[in-house]
Amino acid sequence: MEFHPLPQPHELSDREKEDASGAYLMMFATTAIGLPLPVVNMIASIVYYFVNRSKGLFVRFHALQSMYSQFPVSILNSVVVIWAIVNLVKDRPFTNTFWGFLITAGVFSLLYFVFSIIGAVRAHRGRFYYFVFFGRLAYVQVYGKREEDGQSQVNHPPSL
Amino acid sequence: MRRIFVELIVLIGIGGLLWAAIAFFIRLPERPVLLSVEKEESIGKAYKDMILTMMTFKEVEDERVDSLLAATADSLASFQENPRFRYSISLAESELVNAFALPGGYMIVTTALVEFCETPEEFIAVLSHEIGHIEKRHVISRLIREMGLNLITSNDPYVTGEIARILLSSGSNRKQEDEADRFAGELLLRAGLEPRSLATLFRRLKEENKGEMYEHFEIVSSHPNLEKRIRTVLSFPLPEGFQSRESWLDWEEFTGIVKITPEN
Repeated sequence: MEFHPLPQPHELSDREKEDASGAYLMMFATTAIGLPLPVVNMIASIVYYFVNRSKGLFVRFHALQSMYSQFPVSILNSVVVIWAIVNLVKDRPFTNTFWGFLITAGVFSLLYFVFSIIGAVRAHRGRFYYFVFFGRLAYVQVYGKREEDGQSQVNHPPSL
Repeated sequence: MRRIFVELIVLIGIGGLLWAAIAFFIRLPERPVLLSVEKEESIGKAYKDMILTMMTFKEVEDERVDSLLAATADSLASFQENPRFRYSISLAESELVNAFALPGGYMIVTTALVEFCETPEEFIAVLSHEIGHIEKRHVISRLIREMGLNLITSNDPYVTGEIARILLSSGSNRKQEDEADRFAGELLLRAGLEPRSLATLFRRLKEENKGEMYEHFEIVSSHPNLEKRIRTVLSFPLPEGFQSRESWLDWEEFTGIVKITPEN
């Protein structure tokens, strides 16, 4: 698979660096609502990606990496919230299985926070930072060359 | 590309292992009961007195019964290293098979339960299960959670009566029942009695559970999945060469007294 060349920090505008950094910082802005309703963070990252995907590959990469890494964290946290509500409503015990899941979700959320801060700082400097799995996945999707890349767009008449 | 999938598998693996390790190894303590043993005993006594004034639970007043039950309670306490409470068992006349633990070491068993039990081991197994609830402070924890400390420590007889009725109609959760079953198994084993006699009782209850005779029996009412509990009790680990001994409770005398009480 071929890839587009990576932009170097001096080739990127300040606006691109800020937008790329914003992909991670946006998550902190939604944390207040995201704690009780983790799905809000996921929706915010999806919206951010679709709004900024056309602002160049550098911004698109960071927005996509932020969105992908947000998915599992939001899903884990949503499961914790739903599980806890069901337990409280149905008076079920908070078993060790639940606490194990909650702590695991907490560890992943903490790692996501730490990596997001690093990602935001690196993006603001015009640098790349690859998260485990999600970084490579986003890189392949954003910088991987597709067959249609470079082909000129041709208009066709309607079929009659 | 291959590395992406390897990283995905590693991530899922780490998450799964972390979850399993925490769930398996960490034993989170129960929320402590912020109530002294003495206070719990006085609360328990108030509820016991209140329940025994109710029409459905008239106390059997017989010195021989009291003596046999007191001896059984003391024996069960003596097989524990540091029992938190001094146990008191009351026998109540009722057609419903029932036994329940109250706060502070108090237990109430019905005459129908005594008649239902075929052996003294089954009867003692039920008591051991109830002692499990008492020692683990399940009942007082539930009351504090549901009613609040102010209400359960109230001296108002009306409030005490209502809470006593709530106590009769609510059961323990699955985790608490499991803890009480395991506690009973360990206590019976220390007493030299057959720990699996609880499974026999469960099996007979399951076989004969027709109508509403056992509907209110705390030990089974809230948890219809008796098969799982029978499995748990039957798989209780026994020391090699364990031989159960005969119970200290004179079953013939005890059941004889219960059967000649006027209502039976």
